[in-house]
Amino acid sequence: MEMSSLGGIPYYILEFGDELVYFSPYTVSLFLLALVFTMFAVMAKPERQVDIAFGGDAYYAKETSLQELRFRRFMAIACGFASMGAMLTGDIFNFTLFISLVGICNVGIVAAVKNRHVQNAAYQYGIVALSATVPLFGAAALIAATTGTLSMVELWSSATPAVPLVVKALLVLGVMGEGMAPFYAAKAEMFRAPGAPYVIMCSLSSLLIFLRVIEVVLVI
Amino acid sequence: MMTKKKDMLRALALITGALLVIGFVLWQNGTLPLVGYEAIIVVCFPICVICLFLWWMAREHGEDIPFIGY
Amino acid sequence: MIGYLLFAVVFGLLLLGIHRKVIARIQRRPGPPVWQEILHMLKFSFKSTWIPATASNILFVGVVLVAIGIWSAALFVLLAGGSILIIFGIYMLHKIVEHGFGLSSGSPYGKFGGVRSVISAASEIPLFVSVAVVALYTQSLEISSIVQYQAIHGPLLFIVPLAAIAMYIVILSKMPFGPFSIVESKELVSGYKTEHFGVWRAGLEICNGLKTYVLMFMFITVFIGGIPIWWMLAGMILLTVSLSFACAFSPMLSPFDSVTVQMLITGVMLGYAAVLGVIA
Repeated sequence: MEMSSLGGIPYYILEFGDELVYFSPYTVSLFLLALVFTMFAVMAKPERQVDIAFGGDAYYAKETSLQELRFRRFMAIACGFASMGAMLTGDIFNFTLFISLVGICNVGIVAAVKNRHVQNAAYQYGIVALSATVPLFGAAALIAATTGTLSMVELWSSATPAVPLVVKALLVLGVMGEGMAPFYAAKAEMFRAPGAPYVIMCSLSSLLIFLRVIEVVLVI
Repeated sequence: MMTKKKDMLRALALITGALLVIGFVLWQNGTLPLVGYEAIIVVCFPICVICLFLWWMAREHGEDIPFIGY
Repeated sequence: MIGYLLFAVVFGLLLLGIHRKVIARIQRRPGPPVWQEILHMLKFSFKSTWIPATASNILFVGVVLVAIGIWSAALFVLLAGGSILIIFGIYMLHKIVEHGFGLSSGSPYGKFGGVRSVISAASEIPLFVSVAVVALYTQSLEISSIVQYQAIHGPLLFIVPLAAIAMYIVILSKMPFGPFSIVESKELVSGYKTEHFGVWRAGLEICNGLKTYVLMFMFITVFIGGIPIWWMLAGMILLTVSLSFACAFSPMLSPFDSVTVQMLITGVMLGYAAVLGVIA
């Protein structure tokens, strides 16, 4: 399939030797969305989740301590940067690196809340994300081994041998493992963990890496 | 205090509205490509609409906590 | 362009009004007038609003702007015959917007609407495998190429009917009062939009109008082909009426059932895509 028939014709390809960054309508629009939501995470104050005291009329708003806020905001911003990188990069290895970084940051965002159920969810997600790095980096290594290059533009041109289907499947599996965060974050939120605007970065980065990996798999 | 906020909202609606008009004129001239004009709409249209609505909406009261049940 | 955008908002809201009217007539109620949703949008725009004391302020306002912005972009991509992958991306990002709406207010109802939106994403999104089925035939994801392919080979609706059904279910799950619209079901007050009232709700109505217009337009373009605008509008009304029948005759499923049913359909679609891939 033609590169231009997927996400539009690339406007500009920025090359640093073998590593490159490319701007097509698709990658640019995803990048801009990551940027907008990162700005929200930087500027917005955290929500104060309203909870009703069980068995009475009383309610109270949960406060996020300054220490917790600082840590979660840092993780959310790092996650935003990682997903911005994953959106624009044109290099398979950089792509997998950024995705594993997204996974690590998502664990951080969920795990910062001091609640037993939330910690459990973060722990389970951490194990999934950790084991997903094996197929993720394995796929990158296999692509380099079979084709001799990691540049997406070169892989797209027919000069290099075709990437085996099983390698593409491994790459998708790796991204799926890293992108499981929203389900664990949702699990954590159901125990009334105050989320906004940091948990939104879990969902956003995961959806964005899913969207990008579709393009990557079709291009290579 | 309240009128100041309303003035700011009206100014913002006018500025983004003016940008939309300028974008349209430049696009008709051929100075601005269609993609540029569309980018202006995507950024300015939501801001213009929401500021316009916030400007003409009814009087505001103090904020409160969310709805927690009947 | 801005004129077309405003037309799309109004026509999309009119489609939602027709949707309500048809459902009401099926249930033997008089129902609201068809322009009710347009009036709603105007009414909400005049009403007073606030940002709740417990809300995450910038996110609370920002998602409304993002919601209108992304669907305007989707409309332009569609009109330019751009990549269907971008529209698919915007549909997915609408999930984030719903999540953001629910999450930002601090309200437990909004939060559960947002959480349901994330959970249902797991089953709705894979339905876009129908896009892959289309790409198997047309060898391109550009809408203009898909239209060209159909001009030669006839509508894709008859070539890959199952893919059309999958896309139809994607649209159905975005319609109000449908079997899969668990994000705004009544036990959650108004779901993710509980705390976004007044002006914010008017912004959301604009987004809904645009979203309905874009999704219907996309369905007709991808599965029937490029047709003149009047036929397009008539086709959209027809599609809306068929969706209203589907919504009126089916109960709203529980969240678990909704996800399970969509998962099953996705499984069938994956099998179908695999079979077509082997044949092609």
